[in-house]
Amino acid sequence: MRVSTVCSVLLSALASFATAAQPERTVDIFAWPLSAAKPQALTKIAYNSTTATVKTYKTPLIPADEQIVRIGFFHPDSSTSWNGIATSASNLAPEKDKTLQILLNTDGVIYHVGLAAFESAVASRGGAKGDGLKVEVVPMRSGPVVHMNKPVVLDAEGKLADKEPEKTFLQKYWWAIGIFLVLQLVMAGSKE
Amino acid sequence: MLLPIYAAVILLLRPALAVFADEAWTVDYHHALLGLPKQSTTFFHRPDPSSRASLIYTLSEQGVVGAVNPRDGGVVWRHLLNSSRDATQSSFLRAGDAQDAIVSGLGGQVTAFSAADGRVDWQHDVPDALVDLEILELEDGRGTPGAKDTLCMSAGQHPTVQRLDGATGVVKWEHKIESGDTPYQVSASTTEVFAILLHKTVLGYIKIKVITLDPVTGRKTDEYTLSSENELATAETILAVGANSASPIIAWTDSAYKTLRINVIGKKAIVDFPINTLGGRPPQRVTLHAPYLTTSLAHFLVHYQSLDSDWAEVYHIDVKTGRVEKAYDLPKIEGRSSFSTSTNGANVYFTRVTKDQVFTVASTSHGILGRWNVDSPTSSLTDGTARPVHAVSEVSVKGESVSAVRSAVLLSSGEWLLLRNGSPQWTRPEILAGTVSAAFALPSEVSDLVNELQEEAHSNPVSAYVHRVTRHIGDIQKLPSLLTALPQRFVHGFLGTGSDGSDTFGFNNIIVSATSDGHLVAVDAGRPSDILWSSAAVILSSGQVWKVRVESAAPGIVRVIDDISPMPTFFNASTGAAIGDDEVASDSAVPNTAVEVDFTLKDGQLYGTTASQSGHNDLWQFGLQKGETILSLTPRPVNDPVASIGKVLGDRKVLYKYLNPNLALLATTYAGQSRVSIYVLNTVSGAILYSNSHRNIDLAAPIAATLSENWFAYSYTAESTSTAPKGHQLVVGELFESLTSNDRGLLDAATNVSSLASSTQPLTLTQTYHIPESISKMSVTQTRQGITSRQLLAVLAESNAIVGIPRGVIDPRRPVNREPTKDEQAEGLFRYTPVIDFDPKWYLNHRREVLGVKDVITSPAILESTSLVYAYGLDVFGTRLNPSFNFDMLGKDFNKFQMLATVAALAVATFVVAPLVQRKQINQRWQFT
Repeated sequence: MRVSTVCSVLLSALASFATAAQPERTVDIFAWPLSAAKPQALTKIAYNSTTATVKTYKTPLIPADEQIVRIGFFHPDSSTSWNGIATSASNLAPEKDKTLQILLNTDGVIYHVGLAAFESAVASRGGAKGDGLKVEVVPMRSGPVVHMNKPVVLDAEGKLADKEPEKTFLQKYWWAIGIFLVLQLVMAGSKE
Repeated sequence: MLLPIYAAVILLLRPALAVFADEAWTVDYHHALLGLPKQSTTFFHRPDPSSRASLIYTLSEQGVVGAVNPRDGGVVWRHLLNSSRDATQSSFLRAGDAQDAIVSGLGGQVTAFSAADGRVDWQHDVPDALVDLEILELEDGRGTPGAKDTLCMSAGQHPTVQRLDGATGVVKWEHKIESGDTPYQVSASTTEVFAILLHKTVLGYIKIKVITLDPVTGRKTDEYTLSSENELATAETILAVGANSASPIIAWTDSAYKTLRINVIGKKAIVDFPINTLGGRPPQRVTLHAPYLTTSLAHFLVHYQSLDSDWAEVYHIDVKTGRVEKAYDLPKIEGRSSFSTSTNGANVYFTRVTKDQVFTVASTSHGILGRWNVDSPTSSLTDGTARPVHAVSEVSVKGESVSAVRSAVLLSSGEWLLLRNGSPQWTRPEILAGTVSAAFALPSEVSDLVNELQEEAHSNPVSAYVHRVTRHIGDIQKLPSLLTALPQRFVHGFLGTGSDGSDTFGFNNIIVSATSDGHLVAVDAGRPSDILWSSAAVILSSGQVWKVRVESAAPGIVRVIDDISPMPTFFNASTGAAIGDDEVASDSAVPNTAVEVDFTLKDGQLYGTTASQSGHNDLWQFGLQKGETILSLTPRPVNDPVASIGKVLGDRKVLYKYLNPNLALLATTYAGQSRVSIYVLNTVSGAILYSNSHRNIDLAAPIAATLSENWFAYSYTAESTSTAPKGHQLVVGELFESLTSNDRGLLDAATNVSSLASSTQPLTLTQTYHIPESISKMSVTQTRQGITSRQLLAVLAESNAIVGIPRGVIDPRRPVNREPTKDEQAEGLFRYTPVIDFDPKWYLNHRREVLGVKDVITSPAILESTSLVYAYGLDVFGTRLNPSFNFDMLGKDFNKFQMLATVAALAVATFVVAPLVQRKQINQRWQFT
């Protein structure tokens, strides 16, 4: 009992240590209107393999007639090659609820971004809504695996192991005996 | 109007998973090909020395060794030696005289086969690339009465000459060449083995060095260098080094083809002959034809090819003195001709095949022993479209004259033709073995009608009406011929005897293939035994491989995109004529208002670009991680009609499919990490819709992927883990708008959705299955309107087969670890099983071996039930598939005669009974009871 408690305490301590020790990475996300010559900084995100937080956010300056804005990040060792998506400029409008998706690969490093933007529930009701950006982490799923059937377990003699041991007569029919006894008692009582 | 009826019919019928027995071998066709035969590795040989019957053996450019029956052109046996063909590899095929054995050499492997049935006798791996292979014909005293020994020479760091035992392939002796010279060839006379080496001089020229070896021990007995002066700059002008002839020779020319220099191996003297151009252009190519037998006369023929004509000279060698002298000339003939050598006992015969004649001369005199005209009106040889490239011949001699000659001629059109006394016996379309890309196209009659109807639709009503009337007048002119053909059509229709040539069902599409050697070849699926047309589309330098893609551009027109010309070229599929791109009506239906996005793969990065005022702009980028390489990129097919936007569940509710035309499936691997990642991308916005990563994958095994409709599939081979053994797995994923029935999720009632503005993410269901074999390539059937259920076509490289897996079997919604509910059963779902066994009925090829298939393409027919399938690579295989049974076509078992007889009997009965009934009715009115 005590050993297992100690073990569990140790394990939980280790686990919390592991999460704490997870390297926190940061990435600068840029917004780049299609007609603009240069990208502009959109946000700075700090993330680890499970959570991400918005460090800074700047509302992008998008020309009024611009239709498409690219959102992406530069590769760490390059200033020209980038990874990113194209999205409609209206998705970055202040009245939208925006969620930036950080797609992480199996090493926990960002490999792509995504953006989900919806009509804000607050704004549509006419209420005031502060402009902002949420961020979520989309880790790489591990590939689907085959759902195997239950393995056939053989005993030492190579035969199918018995399933459940048969219930004894008493275990099976105790209620009948009980009823019989109660009946007997009641009948005996009524006779008297 | 027809859609609901079709859909109802499909629901009523259980999917038929196989063709009927009477349809196999009639709806499908298969060319068991060998590949383009090479001159040096093709010959007639008798597998059984006691019988006179011979077979044609060849080792093709595609690396297939095989035997062909010269009687009918059927393949007796064949083997694909290596699937990863390298164009630079040299290959060898030799047969011992009067022996049931042939020996092939390719890459670094020597293999001996039984000549009669193709069984492998032994295999031997040489340390490095093989340079030459010969069969040692000599009879040494101790003698090996059975199989003759093989000599092989290998290159690399330590070039060696090895003698292999003919029966077992064990190395008898090995001679290492330590001098640092380049090994070139090995040759043997009756008493000695010669190793020919090329010695590079200080000035960069080549000198020929000959090492004489003892055939019994392999020890060096002599060595000398030929004084080839300074004329040999490259090894390419060495014409031939004879082997196994009574007196082997080395012949070479200078690079300008001015002099022919000949040395009899073993003698140091070199004889020079000036090349006589016979008043024409200088030769461009000189080849030497000599018999391959020690017992035959030491005569040989030198064949000169100039740009427009051919001529030849025959030389004799005095075996005792080693003197070489010219015996006679064979006259110059305009146009290309090919020469071949055949022997009969000691006599040597030379057969010349020109475009209209075949004639044979003996090596001893120039008198023509046999002459035949090539009499075939249909052969591409006689109509001037093709010329003979090379030939092998077999002569049968009666007394002094040649009674018959059989020549297997490779034509420049890529057909392999057998001429027996000048008359074609069979042709094999070997050019199709080199297909790298292919596409379906409509035949011209259909495409012409489509074009005319389009013209009427797009012009103003008056001119459209005039056009239509003139078209109908043109049609009336065809009426008499139609009427005369009508009785025959009826007879054919009744008796089911063959087709009448009309193609109302759209089965007879034309398949245009591009081959790696720069040809375009068209095959009619209605008459697959013949090549419709064949043309050299590009001129390639030797060793260059045409990187090309063929696709259907418009009805009857194919587009060819290659790495040579910057713009695509267009060809008429029915005639092969090139078409200017201004005549091609664009089939892309992109509305002008939308932003057009192209996506390309460049330097391992995926780009989406769009045209704007300032040129092309990158719209999105998907760069790969370090060490990640792209395995395949499969976009959703352009023409991928879907009949239903949802899946009807058992309770009549609907699950909405995520149908986005701009999907692509990207598969990547990580070098050294045995990991595979799969991404489903939106190619307009660059967003990732689904991604996953598999660990522990065998990257040497094939990984195939495909995408269609709203589902994707891929397969791989997983390495063994502590819980599972190594095995092949198939993953199927399906994208839905939402997983709740009757709910479109965020899209709600939207009819138009922009990939850029919308933030909908599809929900993906996946399922993995074990499969018995790895899949090397995947494809999906296509039908005209997408009503018919689909089949996943999988190429099984190991068993040389193609299977069509029904879509229902790999449905990701099959219930796992429980029995299906009533609703699920009504929908056709059944319980998940971890293993999918390939049902024998799924095999499209039946009993046939479809060797070396690299890709499968599909195309819809006019009938909704039918999808056309064409597989290419080495073999060519085509068939028609009815994944949901042929519900819109009468089968062969439908008895038209019985139906008409019933109708006729009813008509007769009506006529007989009608007056009786009428009389009875009248009587009833007038009679009172």
